[in-house]
Amino acid sequence: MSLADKIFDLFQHKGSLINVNVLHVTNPTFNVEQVNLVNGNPGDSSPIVINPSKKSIDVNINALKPNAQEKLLKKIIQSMGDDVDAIVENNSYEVMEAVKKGERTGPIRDVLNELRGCLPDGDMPILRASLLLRSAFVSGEKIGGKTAKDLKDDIRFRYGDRGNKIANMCTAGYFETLMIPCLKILKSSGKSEHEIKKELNFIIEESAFALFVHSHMKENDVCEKAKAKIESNKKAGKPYLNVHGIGSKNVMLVQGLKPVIKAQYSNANFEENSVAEYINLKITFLTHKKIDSLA
Amino acid sequence: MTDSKKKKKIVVTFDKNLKGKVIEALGYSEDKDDCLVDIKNPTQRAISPDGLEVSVDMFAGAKKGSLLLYNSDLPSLIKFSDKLSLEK
Repeated sequence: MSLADKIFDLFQHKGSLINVNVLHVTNPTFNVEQVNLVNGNPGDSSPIVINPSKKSIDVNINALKPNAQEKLLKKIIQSMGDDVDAIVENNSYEVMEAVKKGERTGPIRDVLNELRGCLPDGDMPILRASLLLRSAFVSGEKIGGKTAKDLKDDIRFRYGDRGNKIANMCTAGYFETLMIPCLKILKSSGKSEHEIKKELNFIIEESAFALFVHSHMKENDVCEKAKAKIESNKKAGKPYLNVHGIGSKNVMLVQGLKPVIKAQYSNANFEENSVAEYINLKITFLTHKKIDSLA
Repeated sequence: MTDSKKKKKIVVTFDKNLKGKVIEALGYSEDKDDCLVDIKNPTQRAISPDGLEVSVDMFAGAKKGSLLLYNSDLPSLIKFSDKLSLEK
């Protein structure tokens, strides 16, 4: 007997197991692929809602008396050896669906296809998580109840500093604008897989001469780090610095950088690219009597 | 049987506030540190496939087989998703 049959069978036992006497329950005519246990009204006379387009049924568990609720859950757990694959809290399932959907199509799939097998070992799971994080940033909407900040905290907690670097680079679009172009150049120049991974690792570790402003930084930290980064970039022959900030507080911190940098580097020029709560401030400055342009 | 003719396995989802009942039905309770433990062996903490302990707060769900419990952080959910996708 399938799980769906077991559920409908349970709901036939009016009186002893169900809170209401009159029930409107119709068996589905499709193979049920998803059962959603919902926390509805105990007096619900239609405790099972059929969704043919999703091949799912919503079951209001509260329409069952407590002993029957226990029975239903036991039947589900027993079915995990049979036709039930998993039981998942619905917010978590929403995240899992977003991952699957995102990776099946569009820009996320393209980035992953380009970089699969080329990133340093262990970085691919971080990139996958970071690409979902970026979707949340772009849409500004929660995924499975998680804000973009929650998702980033998950990455940082699991993968530490490496996770933080990859998440920041990914959110700033550096995988498309820097990593993939760099990978193509390295591949076409005949570098070995080991050499390519080593190079990409260097870019990630050095954060590609960029400064990523995060919410734990104070105004003074941002200024000091920007100045230090400008000096180190200059020494490396890079007459520029990209400063990235996400979130209204960080956007303000980045914008506040301009007068401070201008006071110290009178020849500094600024190019601001901001969308909603994201800013990329590009600072260029004279070196060797010329301004190198940025790609 | 071809893949297209295979009957899809059912995924059961549940509201967050049913978490306690689901955990109990799976045969787990919580210890003093909020970690899930085997009801029959309360010194045995549940461990996720990543080797992490699973708290009530972080519990995301379970996968059939040797009953794997998953946490609800993003990296864990990606792995959970992979496990479901592989068999569909």
